[in-house]
Amino acid sequence: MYNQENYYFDDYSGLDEYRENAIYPKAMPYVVNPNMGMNNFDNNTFVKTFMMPSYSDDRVVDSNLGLIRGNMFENLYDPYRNFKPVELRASNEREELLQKVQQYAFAMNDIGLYLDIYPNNKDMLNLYNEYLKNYNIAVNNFERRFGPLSRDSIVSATNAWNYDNKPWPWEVQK
Amino acid sequence: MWKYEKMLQYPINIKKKDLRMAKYLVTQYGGSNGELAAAWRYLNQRYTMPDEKGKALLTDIGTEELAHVEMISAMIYQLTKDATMDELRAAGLDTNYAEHGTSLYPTDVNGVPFTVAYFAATGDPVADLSEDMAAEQKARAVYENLINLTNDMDVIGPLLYLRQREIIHFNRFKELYDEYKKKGYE
Repeated sequence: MYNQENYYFDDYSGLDEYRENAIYPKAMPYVVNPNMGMNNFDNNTFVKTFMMPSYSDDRVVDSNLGLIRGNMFENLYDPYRNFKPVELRASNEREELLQKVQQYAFAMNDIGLYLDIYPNNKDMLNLYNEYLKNYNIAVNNFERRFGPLSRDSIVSATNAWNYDNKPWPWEVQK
Repeated sequence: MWKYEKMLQYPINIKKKDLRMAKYLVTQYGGSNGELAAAWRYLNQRYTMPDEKGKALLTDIGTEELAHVEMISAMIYQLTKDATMDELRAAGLDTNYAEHGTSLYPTDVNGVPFTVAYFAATGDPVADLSEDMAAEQKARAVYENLINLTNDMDVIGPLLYLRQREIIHFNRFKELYDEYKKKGYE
């Protein structure tokens, strides 16, 4: 549990509570129930929001398709010859959880570049915020199981230095 | 400042050694149209962008290019891992080995070391963005050449992804270019 005096975790069981109370103020709840007012990306409740952007030629695809295409924007997708995007298959739990993080990080990055040019598109901003929530949840899920993705992650604040957990990104993730 | 996340932007898991392909891929590390040149082209030009849109876009695309440097490096690392001396010789990587051992080193496909002469900065946002648009198109063409040089789907997947990113970046640069032309920033 979270140790108030020494600021470290002995285990991660109290992590959700810790993140909610210690890091983010109550007014800005950090851990969101995925079924309340946002998309559950793991079943097919996504369609409603991904049609959300009102500019008709800026239709955004879901983040899984976006990541494998390398492109969130339907109107800008330009495949090479007859190549189809390669399906990503996770071969273990670590890869599966990591691919969720990569998926939401990618969506945020691509929508972020759009917002750099069109900062007043409120629908796109809302979509960015949805992905941000999902990204934070995915990072939390990964880090609790496999250790920190960044040195300043909450799960770094343990009594063991686990930032150097294997594997490094350039190593085959099997 | 920059923060490091211990993951690639797109997963890369190459199971089959291919030293020839690694030799070609290195050009997207340290060649004239490579990711290192792209990252520093944009991160260096951002200081003279005339408004917040330009500063934001060049910062963000420049940062993404750093993640692409890491992707290309990971591909070269995985394609050459545990190579024998005979394999290095057969692929023509023995010359690289003489100077650099098994380290990665940013060169073009012919072994010419990376140089900042690969990019410009004029202080003129319209001129700089034109260069950036051309750079994205040239990198897209190089990725297509690289895709044509392999049959390994573990390599083609990331190359298709990187090619598509060039297309997105080109379009965002063009949108900014068109806006700056309209506003007369030149």
